[in-house]
Amino acid sequence: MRARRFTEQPSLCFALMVCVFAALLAGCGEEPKSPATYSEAATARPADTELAQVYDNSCKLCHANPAAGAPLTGDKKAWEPRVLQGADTLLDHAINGYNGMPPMGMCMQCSQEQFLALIAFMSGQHIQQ
Amino acid sequence: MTMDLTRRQLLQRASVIGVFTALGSTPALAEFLRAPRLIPWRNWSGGQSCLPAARLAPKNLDELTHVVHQAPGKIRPVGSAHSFSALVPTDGTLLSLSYFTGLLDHDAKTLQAEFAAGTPMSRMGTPLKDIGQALQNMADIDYQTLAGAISTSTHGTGKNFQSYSAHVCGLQLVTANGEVLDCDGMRHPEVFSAARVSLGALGVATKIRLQNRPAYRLRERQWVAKTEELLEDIDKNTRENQHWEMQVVTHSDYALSVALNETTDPATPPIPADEEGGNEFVTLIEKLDKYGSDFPDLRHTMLNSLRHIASFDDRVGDSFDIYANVRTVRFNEMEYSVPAEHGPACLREILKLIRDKDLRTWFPIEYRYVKADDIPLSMFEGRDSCSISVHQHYQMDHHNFFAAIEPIFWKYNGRPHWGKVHTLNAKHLQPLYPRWQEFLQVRQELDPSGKFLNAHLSSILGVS
Repeated sequence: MRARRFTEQPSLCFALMVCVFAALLAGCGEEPKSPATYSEAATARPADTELAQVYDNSCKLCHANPAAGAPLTGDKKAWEPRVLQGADTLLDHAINGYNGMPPMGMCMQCSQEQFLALIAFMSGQHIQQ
Repeated sequence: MTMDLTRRQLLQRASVIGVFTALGSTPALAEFLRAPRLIPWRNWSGGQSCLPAARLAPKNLDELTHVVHQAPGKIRPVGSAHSFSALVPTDGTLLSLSYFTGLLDHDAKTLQAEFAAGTPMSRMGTPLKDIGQALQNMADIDYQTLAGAISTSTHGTGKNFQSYSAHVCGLQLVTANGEVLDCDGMRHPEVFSAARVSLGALGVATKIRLQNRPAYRLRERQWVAKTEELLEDIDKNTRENQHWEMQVVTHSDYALSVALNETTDPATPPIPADEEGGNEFVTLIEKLDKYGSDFPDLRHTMLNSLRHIASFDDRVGDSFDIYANVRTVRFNEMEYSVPAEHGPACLREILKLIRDKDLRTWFPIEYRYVKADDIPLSMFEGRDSCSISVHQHYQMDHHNFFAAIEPIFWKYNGRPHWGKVHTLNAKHLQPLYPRWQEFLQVRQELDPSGKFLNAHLSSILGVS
């Protein structure tokens, strides 16, 4: 579905109901990210050349794209609650998928170590195994 | 609570404890516990999975040919795992081309460009723009790799526009015996013809040359209208718009109509990133279904009333930015392409069934047009087509829903999208494809031992 936005001009009773419903649903979104975070995410790359190549063709497609809804690379605040869940949960979500996150994170050959290294890079935090 | 053990049980348990005690006194147990987990492969929706013996990503052509030559069992190439059908699962070697990416070569005169086959479609727009080129059409999802997209005849919409595969003018293929074949209309023309839609059954494509056009901008216009009115105006909508499609909101009378047309107008300001993709709209429909499915009349009224609150600004931008949308809600999908003239009747029948049986679904149905091509296994071979896609949220059961809809597609001689869910096998598919044998003959010559076959391919191609 490509619809992009809702106006504030409901003209019917049911439209009003739907608006209220939409507002209730929208209440649990994350705080908007700053443009600085967007540009940082777009340019960040792992120092390791091989990992950088893997990152470019997998994680980056969503984690440097604000529209994807994924925590952006380098956005420590967004990553913090994820990292707190621990390496096992992070790995489980990366391998098996979680909500909008596709299984394998688009990296079909990644090892456990590579997944963790990529998560550590994106979150900017050490992942304790 | 007491536990009575026989002498035999006592000895068995003592021996188990002894083994663990021995392991504990050495690093063996700790090492066992630290062993890397077995990593299964799953597709984008999670509906397909396997536990391959090896997941490999060769870094260059030499490594790739070595893998193909040496791999002990079956080999299945994988792109971005966006196929919903079982094209990929294998217990042999899963082969990723994630190191085969980027623009390799181009010709400014012929407007052709060659990409490494593992390049994600989402990473082709900018380098093409930098050399003044653009793809002639694109799908509304660009997660796929180039090889994955052409292997399954992936497409966008537009009655005068063909699938990605039809724009392939050359490719390189590593065959089952490790041979590297450069194919085009002059070199190995039979292989080239078949390999433009190969299902990954002929070998591993490593680079692909595309016939492009000069870079261009598109204007996107969207509006909500009654589905029936849009169907009555099909000829007008498809004639007056280069790329037209509609997204039918099930359990309602309305659809979102989307028209893309080439323009020289300047680009509009980018939509705020958090609003891009329309995923909030999808989430709203999902919630209306979740809380309203027990009250179908109310749900119907509320869905219909969405038209009063949805409005759309025109969007102008580079073609590759306008075509593609991010999808944050995962789903499973079934798509069939029926002869173009049967599209409206087929859709009406599907909508009637969903309404009459109150089938549980909320994802919009996508309705598109694709121009005929001449590729043996293309869904669009020899006929202009209307592609109708039904979706189900990845956490909802799709089997019963798709099973109810699928016979309607058969009635209209539909051909299933190779990368999407269907239940047909070779017996059903062969009559739908006049050039079926042409493909099978090439496959038999290139891979007589079936190195690139898995169970699904054996079933749909009728070979073992």
